[in-house]
Amino acid sequence: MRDFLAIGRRLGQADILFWTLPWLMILIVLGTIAQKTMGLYTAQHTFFASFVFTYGWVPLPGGYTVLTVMTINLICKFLFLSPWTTAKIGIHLIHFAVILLLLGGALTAATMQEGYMALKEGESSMTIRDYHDRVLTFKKNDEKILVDFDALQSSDFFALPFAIKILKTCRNTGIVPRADLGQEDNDGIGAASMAAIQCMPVSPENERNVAGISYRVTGAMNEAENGTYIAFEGRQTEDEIDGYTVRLDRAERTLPFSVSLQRFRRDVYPGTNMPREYESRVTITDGDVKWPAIIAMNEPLRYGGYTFYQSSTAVDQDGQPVSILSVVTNQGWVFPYISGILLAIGLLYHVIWRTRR
Amino acid sequence: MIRIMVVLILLCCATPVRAEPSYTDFAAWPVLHEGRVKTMESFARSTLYKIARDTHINDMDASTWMAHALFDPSAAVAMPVIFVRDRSGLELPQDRQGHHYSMSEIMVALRPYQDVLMALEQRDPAKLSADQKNLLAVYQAVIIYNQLIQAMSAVLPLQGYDKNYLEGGGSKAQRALIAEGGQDNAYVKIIPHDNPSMPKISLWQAVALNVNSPLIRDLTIMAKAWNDGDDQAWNDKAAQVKDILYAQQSEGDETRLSLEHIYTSVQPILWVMGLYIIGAVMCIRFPMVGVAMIGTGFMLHVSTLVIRFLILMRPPTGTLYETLLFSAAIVMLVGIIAFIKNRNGLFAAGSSVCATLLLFISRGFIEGDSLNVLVAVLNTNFWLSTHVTMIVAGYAMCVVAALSAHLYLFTNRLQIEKMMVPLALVALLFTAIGTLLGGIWADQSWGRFWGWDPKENGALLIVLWLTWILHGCVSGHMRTRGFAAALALTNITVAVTWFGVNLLGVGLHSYGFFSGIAWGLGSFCAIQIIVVAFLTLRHKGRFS
Repeated sequence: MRDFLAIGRRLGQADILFWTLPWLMILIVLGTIAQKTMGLYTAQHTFFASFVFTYGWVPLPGGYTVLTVMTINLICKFLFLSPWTTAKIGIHLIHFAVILLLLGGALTAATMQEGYMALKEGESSMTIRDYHDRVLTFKKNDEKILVDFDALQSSDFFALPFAIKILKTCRNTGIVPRADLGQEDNDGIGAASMAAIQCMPVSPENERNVAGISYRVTGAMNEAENGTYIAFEGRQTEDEIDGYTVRLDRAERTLPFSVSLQRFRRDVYPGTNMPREYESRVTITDGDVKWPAIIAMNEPLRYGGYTFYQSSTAVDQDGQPVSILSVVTNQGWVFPYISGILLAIGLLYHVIWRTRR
Repeated sequence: MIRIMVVLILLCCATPVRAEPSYTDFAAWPVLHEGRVKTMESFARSTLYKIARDTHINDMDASTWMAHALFDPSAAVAMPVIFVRDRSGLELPQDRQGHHYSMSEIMVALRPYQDVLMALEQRDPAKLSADQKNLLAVYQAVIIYNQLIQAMSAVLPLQGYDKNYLEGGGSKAQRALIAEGGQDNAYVKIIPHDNPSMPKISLWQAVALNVNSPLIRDLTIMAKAWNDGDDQAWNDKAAQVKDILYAQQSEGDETRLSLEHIYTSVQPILWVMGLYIIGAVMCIRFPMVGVAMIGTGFMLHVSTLVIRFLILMRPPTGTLYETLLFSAAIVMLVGIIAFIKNRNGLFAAGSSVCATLLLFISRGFIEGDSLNVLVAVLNTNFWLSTHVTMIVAGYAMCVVAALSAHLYLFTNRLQIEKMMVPLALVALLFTAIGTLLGGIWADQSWGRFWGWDPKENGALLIVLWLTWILHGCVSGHMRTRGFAAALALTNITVAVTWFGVNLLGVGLHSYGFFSGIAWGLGSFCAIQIIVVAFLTLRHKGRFS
């Protein structure tokens, strides 16, 4: 027991924080500058949402490691090294608030899922599309085979009655005419008979990238369906092989209720195209219950564990406005609110106590 | 003492009066521009800045220039107004003072580049070279200027005829040319229109929509008066038009326009800067007089913020310029409080110098008209008045805390030593709560509390830096002098967060993207490190 206390006291010492904070600051500077070249998403995953990252071949502690050390340090300090005197109330509150913030952050990192929904007025949907993950889907009647695009391998398709060999994948894709267009040995089928995919420089903003793939099918029952195919995000038509339709698109999740957009208002400043406010009036249909709600800039809607945000707006091919709502599930969302209040009280108490002294 | 007062009074009297007061009424006309009904002066400044990179040109203020451009196009095309950086590869006369060239000079010089310009316009601006960007900027200035000089062509008397285009003057060919030039010209929106999403339209839009406004008749009379050289008639009509247009605005808008007119003509921030700097100098010998001047400057400063609030109806912390203005007031407030509490003239003088520097830096961020509307996500009074105000106050407190550290390193005074930790704590209080509130705002509008976005990281960096040095102080890793040196360097983290993050041009927060201040920021950091190193080492020799 004494050893346990001694270890706890050692782990709660201020020197641990004193030596870990500079590394966290360095990480933040590196991770911020790296966003210029890597983009926010990749930089975030390399520097902050990682336990270890490598610089060249040197392994270095990432954000998760530093924050874990700091959390342990703070908890030990809070439990073993906090004399309960009135003078220290402020400090204890601050430390407790930061512990809550860090634990809330851990919960968020573990449970948060983000996606979006694009709706036109009058449309209804139960599906959220992911911002980042792409999947290749083979669908026949009710049977669906989904393969994660980032981990695509030819062996992933064993469940299909024909064989697939992946020829090329691109994270960002351009469509070009086939080099052997109109020649005898052109084995392209569907869109692939005219066009080929070409890998383009990957945009730092992952949402802007258009994933693409070309693959060869052998062993299809219909001999005419054996050959090369291409698929890419946003393609309007679908190939069909032995009754399976093929699609490459963002990963989708289904909501336990549906959202329909009644009215979308987009206000601009007079005489300009500069938006002043967006607002979506929606109806949520959950079983028998219909529920009207408003989602606006800085005014999210929380329902059934999901939070809907007015994220942006777009215009479809027919010039109709489309409201883009981002949809987030996050079990840890309430922590910063509690932590913020405690931190404010604690800091205020400490500052007043300090200046009175 | 009396001598000093006399010199001050003389200095005030020497401030030049506005050269052409007859444009005052014209300068107050309401114009719809960039999403807001503003005064002609604000509109003229914004437009002139786009064309000439300045708010004055050839000894004319912006409104005077605007009147010339609108009512006297033939003279306006010969006026050297368009700014061309390093001639941008164009065949233009060398060594032109102020790098300003006339529209006619540039039209000739641009002729060989027509195809190039079309191609450049289609390209991603981030991929253009400096020369290409300059060339495109010149072309865009020409487009704006071209719209401006044709904005009134419907009412300008036609040479050789009594009548103007609207009254059926000119030959058939002349009329066709004028109408073609005026088509789609929507730059100067002054004519009232009963459409809430477009409360004012341009003269040519009014012609196209067949809007029958008495203002068109008035503009015709003004154009004729200008042509005849009848200044009196032009002035009288301008005053009359102003009264009519103001009467048509709602009461609130009328007050706002009048306030804006006063604000732009008085330029109160220049006065504030003058009072602060003279006050700081006075503090050395006559602390009471110095602080009285600083106090007067502060009242004017606060009034300026209030006026800006009333004009824009939002907290005065929406743009980078406004955050600088606001933080300077906080810095000054703390300086004055410190003086009242412990008669510390040196600290008050230091705060005054810091506030002046912040105001001086802010001048660089005015792009003609500093009263701007905000993008949708920022357009929320609740978060602007809580998160942004809190974080900007935090920046200001950091500057004050760093000031106390500099002064301590310089003087080694016990009184100042005692101020450092409380000031650092208050700075931490504001930045930490401001950052958390920012996270909560992000959670409300983007769906996540923390996203490692550059601006968030910057704010966090300040919080961590202050936490680090305060813990270093508590744990004994930092002695007083080391703590002071670290606290003095807080300025660098603040500068990098405030301005450096925008240089990156990534992330959701880069509303105020700009380039070209990298050098300024780099030099500031270098100078700051040298100064702190010098002060710290100098002490070591003398006191230890």
